[in-house]
Amino acid sequence: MTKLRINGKEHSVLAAPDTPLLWILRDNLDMTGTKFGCGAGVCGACTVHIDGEATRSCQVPLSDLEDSDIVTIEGLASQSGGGLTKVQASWIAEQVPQCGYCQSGMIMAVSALLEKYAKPTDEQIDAEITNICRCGTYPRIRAAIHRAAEMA
Amino acid sequence: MGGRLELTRRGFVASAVATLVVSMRLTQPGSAQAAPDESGGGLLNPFISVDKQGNVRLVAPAFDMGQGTHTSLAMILCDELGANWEQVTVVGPEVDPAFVVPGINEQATHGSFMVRNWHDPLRKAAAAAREMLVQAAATRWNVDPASCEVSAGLITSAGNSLGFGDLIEDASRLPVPENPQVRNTKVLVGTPTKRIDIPSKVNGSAKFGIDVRLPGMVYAAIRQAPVYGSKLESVSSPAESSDNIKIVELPSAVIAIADTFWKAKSAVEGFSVVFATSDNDALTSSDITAQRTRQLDEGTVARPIVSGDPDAALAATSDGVSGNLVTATYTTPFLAHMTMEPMNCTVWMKDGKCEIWVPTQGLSATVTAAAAATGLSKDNIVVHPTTPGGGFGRKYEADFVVQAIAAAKATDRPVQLIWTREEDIQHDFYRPAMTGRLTAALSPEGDMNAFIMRKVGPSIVEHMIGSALIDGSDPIAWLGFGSQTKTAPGELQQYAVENVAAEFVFQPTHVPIGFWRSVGAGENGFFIESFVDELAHSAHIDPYEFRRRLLRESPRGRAVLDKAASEAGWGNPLPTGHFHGIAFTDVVGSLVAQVAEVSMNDGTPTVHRMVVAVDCGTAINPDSVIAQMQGAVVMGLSSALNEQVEIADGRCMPSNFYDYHVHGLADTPRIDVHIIDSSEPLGGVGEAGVPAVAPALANAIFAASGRRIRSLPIMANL
Repeated sequence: MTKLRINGKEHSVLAAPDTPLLWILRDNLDMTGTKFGCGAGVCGACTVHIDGEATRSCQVPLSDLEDSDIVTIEGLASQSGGGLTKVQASWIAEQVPQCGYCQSGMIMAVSALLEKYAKPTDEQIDAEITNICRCGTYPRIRAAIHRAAEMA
Repeated sequence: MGGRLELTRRGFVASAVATLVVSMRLTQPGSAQAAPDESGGGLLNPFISVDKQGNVRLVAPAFDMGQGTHTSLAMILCDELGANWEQVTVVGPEVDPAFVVPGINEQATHGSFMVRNWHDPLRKAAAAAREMLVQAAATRWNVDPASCEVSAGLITSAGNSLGFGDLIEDASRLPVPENPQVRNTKVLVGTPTKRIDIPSKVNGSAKFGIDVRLPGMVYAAIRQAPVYGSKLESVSSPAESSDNIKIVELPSAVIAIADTFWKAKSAVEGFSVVFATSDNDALTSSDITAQRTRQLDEGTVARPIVSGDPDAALAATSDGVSGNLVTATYTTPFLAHMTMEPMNCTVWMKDGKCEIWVPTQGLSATVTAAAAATGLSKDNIVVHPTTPGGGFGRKYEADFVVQAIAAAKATDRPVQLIWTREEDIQHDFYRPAMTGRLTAALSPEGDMNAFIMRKVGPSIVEHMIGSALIDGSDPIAWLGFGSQTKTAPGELQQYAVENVAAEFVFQPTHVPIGFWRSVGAGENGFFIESFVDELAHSAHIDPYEFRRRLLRESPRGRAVLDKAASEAGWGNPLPTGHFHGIAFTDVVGSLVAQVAEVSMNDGTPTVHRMVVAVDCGTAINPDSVIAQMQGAVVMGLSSALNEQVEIADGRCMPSNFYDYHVHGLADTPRIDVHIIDSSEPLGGVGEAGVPAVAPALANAIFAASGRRIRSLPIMANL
């Protein structure tokens, strides 16, 4: 049995130590907000926060997660006291998502970016946000990041 | 079917293909009657029901995979009905003959047909429902229905006012008017409206096919034969396993079932699997391309489109004096879809029924495939369509549904089959690799007198109906060549050219092919608009001017071209080293022009800006139109610059996003979209923006470097 702290709650999980966090979340805990896109750490659909850092959960085995503080898309709003975060509100204001499948990971990556750079430049955005969106919502992602950065 | 194919008729492809589709997927006529329900509300028609509190439930008869159809179709219903948008909820369609898409005769979402084919029928249904509510009010107040006003869910007449909720029970007992008065009310329609599906897509609550969870559900992973069509010979699993793994063998694949996907995937990767050798084991992309090149001159040529006498016009230039003959050959590669949600399907075989949860674009296709795979009648197939995480044509297929059924038959539990990204890219139904040889006659003044395009490649219609060709050609290969508008002056999109021929040489391939956002129009845009550019340069005429002349009989086309050119600043000074390229396309009934602004750095193009002008008749939800153009440009740039599925050893070589590069945020330039409302009949939007991208970009690269790109992707052909 492994104990995990996710979105402020303790969970007990029985799984092989090499099981990636992504599948623990999705299959052991039925937390399906975090998505599977590639399994290779390339697309970012599986991005969560581990100890405050944006991390691709398909690349983190269960055995590495003891004492880690994990936040998923489901827990993002509760971190800001419930309701929508600035990033989520900007995402709606700019009407960013199309199919929406990549957006959990995208929002987690962007949320971490804005913790690092309060008002990121386009160069910083380009370097840090490498999540893939096949629908091509990038122009609106960029606008929503700037919008969120401007929000009080 | 005989005679000349008339691609100038709107919906030709729809009707030709639909005729064939109908013969395979018979749908039954009939629709639900209006009726009250047990809780004081009622159904007015299959699209509209209202409860006692006045909440309106609308069925948007399309699968929303991000193109915004649920919102757009609901806006149409809501406006015509006169409902209060704040009290509206929208759901997608279940299996029901009422939701068979007019013109394509199946329940599906493809071809950019949804809004343009449903608009009038939904207006009519909503008008009928409105009149029933009005009649109920008029009867209650003993007034003339003509005196009643309807707005925001309220019906008023003189001093009387009632909400839909108060009237629904009476209204739903009334006969449905057969010829209601359609008002074409525009409250939401034509204004940027926030999409109803977006809030759930920013907090992780939106459920895709892969998110379906059922009690006792188990998971399946698959390994398919790498070489297409090769058969499974043997499977053996390691002797010891602490996990309970079930193995299911298919003709060309093996499936492992376990209680988590990670276990199933780990298991199937650990199997020793042998697939039979086949004749295709050594085939490469080069072989496939070389064969198409040979077939340009050796294959059987069908001429599905011809107008005037192009051969005579070309012959007339053979003296080199009365004009010039220009010819060029282009090729495009296989392209993968790379939907962010990989293929998946959940199936439960239970109580003599087959219950399916699937992210699909093809509901009728799924039911048909499931009936064939199970031997059950269609009444015993229950399908729950989920939101697809990207479709682009891939999720119209049912191959992964059939596999999931095979897995489900091996257990009494629900089974969710998920493809890894490797399986997804290597077992796609790719945009077919095609070759096009274009020939044109230019007068000494630079007028295009004749245009012949010979395409060589496989047939997508074969993939749909099993028989390869209609009159020797694949009509799908001519999307974007002929027009789906009613106002095209001739046979070549909106261009004024009298002597035109489209020629098709069928060259099948063992590589699976299918529908990739804009289908045949995708490569046609690159072939035609690159070649038109070559003609312009050959005649020493500005490429924008050259197209203006070609659009002389299409004021609508000119307006779109002019808008893109003026917004881009065509002809005005650009920053040093920046150059423009332009393209014009007529796709899915919409007219699109694009200008690319590019610079070359060390022989590599940088795209600075894309300007898009689009005329889709009327933009129902203008913000969705902009979003679709932005997304299409990104997909178009990505595929034009970098994408190709290389075949070697008879199989797909790339295996994931790291060796099949899909555009990211840093690759994406500024994209400006301008919508022109021409009030012409509605055109499609989802695919309309893709075909002009590659040629606009290639034409800009030519302007910048003198290098003419005739083969995609650009980065592999510089």
